[in-house]
Amino acid sequence: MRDVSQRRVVRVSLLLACVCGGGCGTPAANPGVPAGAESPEPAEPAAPVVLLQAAPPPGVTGRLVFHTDREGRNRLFVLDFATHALSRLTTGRDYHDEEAAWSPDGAHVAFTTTRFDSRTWDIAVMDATGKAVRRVTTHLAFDRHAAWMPDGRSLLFTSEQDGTQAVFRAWLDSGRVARVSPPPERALMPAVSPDGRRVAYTMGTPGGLRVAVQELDSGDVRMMTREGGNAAGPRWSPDGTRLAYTRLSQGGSSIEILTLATGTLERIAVDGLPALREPAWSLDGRWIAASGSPATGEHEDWDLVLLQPGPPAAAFRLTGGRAHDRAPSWIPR
Amino acid sequence: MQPAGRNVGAAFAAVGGLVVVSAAVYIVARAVYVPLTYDEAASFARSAGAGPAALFDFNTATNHFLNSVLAHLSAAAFGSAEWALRLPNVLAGFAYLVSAVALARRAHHPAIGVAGLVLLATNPYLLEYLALNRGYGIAIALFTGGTCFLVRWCEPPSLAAASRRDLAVSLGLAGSAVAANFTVLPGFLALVAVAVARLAWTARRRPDDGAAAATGPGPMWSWKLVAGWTIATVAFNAMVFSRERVFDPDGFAPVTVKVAGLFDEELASIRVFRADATGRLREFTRRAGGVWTSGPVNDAWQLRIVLPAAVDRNLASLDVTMGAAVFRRDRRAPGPWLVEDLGSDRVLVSTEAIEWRGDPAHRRLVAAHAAVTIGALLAFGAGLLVLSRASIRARLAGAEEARIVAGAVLAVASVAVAPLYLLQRDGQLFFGGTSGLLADTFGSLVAGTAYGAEYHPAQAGFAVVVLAAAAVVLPLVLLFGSRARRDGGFRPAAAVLGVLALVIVQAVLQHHLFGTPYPIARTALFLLPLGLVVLMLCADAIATLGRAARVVVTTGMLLLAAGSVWNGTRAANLSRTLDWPADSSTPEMLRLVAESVAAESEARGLVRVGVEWMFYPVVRYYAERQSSGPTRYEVIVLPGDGLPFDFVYVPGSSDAAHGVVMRRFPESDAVLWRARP
Repeated sequence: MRDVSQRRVVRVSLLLACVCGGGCGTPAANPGVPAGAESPEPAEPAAPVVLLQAAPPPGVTGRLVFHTDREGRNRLFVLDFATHALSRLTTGRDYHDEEAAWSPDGAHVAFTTTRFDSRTWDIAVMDATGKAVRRVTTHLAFDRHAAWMPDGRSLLFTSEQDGTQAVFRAWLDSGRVARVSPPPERALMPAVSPDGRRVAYTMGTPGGLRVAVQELDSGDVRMMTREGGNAAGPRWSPDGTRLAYTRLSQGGSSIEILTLATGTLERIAVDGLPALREPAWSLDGRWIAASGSPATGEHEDWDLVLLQPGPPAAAFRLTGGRAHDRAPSWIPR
Repeated sequence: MQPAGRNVGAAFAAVGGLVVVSAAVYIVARAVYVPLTYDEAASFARSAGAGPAALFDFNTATNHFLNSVLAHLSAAAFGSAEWALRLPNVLAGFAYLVSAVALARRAHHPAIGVAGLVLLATNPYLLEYLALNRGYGIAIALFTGGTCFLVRWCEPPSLAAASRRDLAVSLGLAGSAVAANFTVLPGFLALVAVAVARLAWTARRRPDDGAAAATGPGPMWSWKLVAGWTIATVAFNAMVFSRERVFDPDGFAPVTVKVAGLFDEELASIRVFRADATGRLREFTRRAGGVWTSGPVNDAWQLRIVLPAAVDRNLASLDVTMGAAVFRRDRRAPGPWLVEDLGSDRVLVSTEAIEWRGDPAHRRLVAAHAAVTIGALLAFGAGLLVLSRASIRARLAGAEEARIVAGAVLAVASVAVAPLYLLQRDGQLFFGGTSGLLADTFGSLVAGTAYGAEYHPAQAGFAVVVLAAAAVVLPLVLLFGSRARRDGGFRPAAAVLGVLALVIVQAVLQHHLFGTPYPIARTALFLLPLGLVVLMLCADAIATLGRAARVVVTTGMLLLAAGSVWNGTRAANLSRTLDWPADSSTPEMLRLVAESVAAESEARGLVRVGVEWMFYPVVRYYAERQSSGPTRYEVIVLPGDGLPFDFVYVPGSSDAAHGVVMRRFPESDAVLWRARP
């Protein structure tokens, strides 16, 4: 890992507000297509300013896997907080590996790759050393965003095999694939709850991109974010009580944390990093790794950052340089 | 009524017959073989080919109402071939030639009549418009017919019932000419003015029946006539306003397109355009997030959205908002959109989604505008009634004549007022000149007659001098030509000369009072036969002054006729038009494109042809006719919608390269490029 010497002042905006009473945490189930309004009201960020720490505090432990183009095409790298070292997990020359997700038992890594067919993205699984790569999806349509079920025997992922993006499930032993999210809505970026009973994902609706939670048994879907804005990429906290996701706004993005039981909403917006995406909870739930960029579009430059939910909130730069470091995910011990 | 002094000799019959038959054959041949032109194709696309309601669409001046109606009927009966669209004008051309013969037969001197007929039937610019799908040809035919009956009405005995029918037919034909083309409106008004003047001039010789009718208990117009007029006028004006798009620009503009359920990167890949009826694309401005807005949309005709197909598949909803109307496309309701995939890209096209007719606010505006117009017409009709009764009481007009004149004026007003209001408000009455009457009106008619040949600008002055000389000499006929007075040769000539003079006066007055342009080229075209008729009748009248005068004017007319035959023969062609030469190669261009596509190893479902705007309507017309097979042709005006073209058709003067040149077309000064191998 390259040290970041430049200190940067960031403004971390927090908003703690339960704006919809107790209903937010226990919204009514909405089977089938969600047209629901059961979502928090718009969050208005406050503006406390804190200093950005150049490196994470000593108490942070564990490892992150992420993809980066620092060696050309996107490959998977591992960042070890204990040693501050970066190690290469995949070494593709003419293909891309992205969006890694470590299996709950720590033995395997699921990821998105073009290594099997340069025309499309597939889900693959390999062992923790980057060897024994196995193709999971074979459809010509794009398959992305793998997420493990807690038992490690199946994966949820986004696929376009039905035309519109939808969440599918693939069983590793039988190779069976089944659609999970109800048609015809767009559903993508799945995240399985720690108990394995629910899946959160991004849903495209006439009211914008919204975070939805679906009961895997009943198929009931309920909307977790408000209509009229765009929210995407939900991730469950390790205890299953909170959801972190990306709040997309004009020209930027921030991270929002929704406490399901109370509907409490916290927004983390880092000044100087107007684009903040892809949150990933640490194993103890105290930290959120994310990717951030000082600009969007042509001049974007994605680096990994570490966020500490408040109060008081804090943000730390993990990587730097001109390479794009994206989609961090914590590796189980 | 028999024409006076009609010793039509065999020479007249032979020459006249030959000229008329030749002209008729030439008109038919041009209608069949000359490629469709820009205005014809645009008019067909907008009105005749777009459903009956579109016939009432006066958003542009391209809609020549009567022609559009007749072309629509012809297309419904015979299809959309060039000759079918032009059939009403061809028939009008035959009627014009009949009128020309009838006018020529009214000349007392057969040689002058023959010369006049030759001048009327060999002018290439006139004949061109009798074989095009435009209102000019029909208007010329009807107005010339009206002129012919005016001449008949002016000949003695002028107070008989048959003569009143001549007046009615004259005004009816001239009024119908206005419905075919509004440029003839000054001609109609001039004709009405001359009729009124003549009625007043002959008032003292009128029997007393008119005054009795006017002062009696009976109405001037029967209730059936009034009821019929009311229903027709309400229906026509309501239809006209129902086709109007921009009563309230603030209410319907901008058009907003809102896309939901996509990420910013996906939204950035979307481009939204609107096309006007000429095919030109204007891109919407992207606002915050997934929102695009248009500028003013009075000419918007079609919405066009270009995006990756994958993005469209993931799109949750697409809302087009105009005023209070929202058109939604989502996963459950695909809406009125034509979806076309081009590789990995997708094009969404909709005409209905940008159509706000039917919106409640629009309906209210239609009702309000129609009510005001009907009210104004009722007031105008009441004014005409009062004026007519006063004229009858004063014995300036007979009851029947007053009824005819007032009825014709009211009928024309009913048809013209709403369209002219809309066209004037939208700046559509722009086709004209500002260089002056001589340069614009007379110069353009001389240039049109020369049909592309070199001519001296002084020729326009010469034409004016000849007409002015006729106007100056004509009163001498009244003073010294006893025979002419006896036979009524003076009055028809003076009447037609009066019509021409009043049209010119109106053009000058309108230009100075309202800033309207001077009639030019085709908008002044009806002046051409009118001027030739004036020339013929004046020459015929002047010839009665004596032998010397007869020799001079006959020789002059025969020389002019000979020159006209030579000019007409020189200009005759079946491949191009004077006003739209750029369209002459379009069918050949598309034939080459079809051959090239057919020669490809893989069948192609869609062929995209990029064209400069001036080629668009005609290329689209022929492309649609050519799209009946497995290959469909899509015509896009350059610079296009960002997607690649297969072929590009541009003027030869265009600097940009578009691939490999397939063919240059010297006659139309155009180049066909093969954009993709």
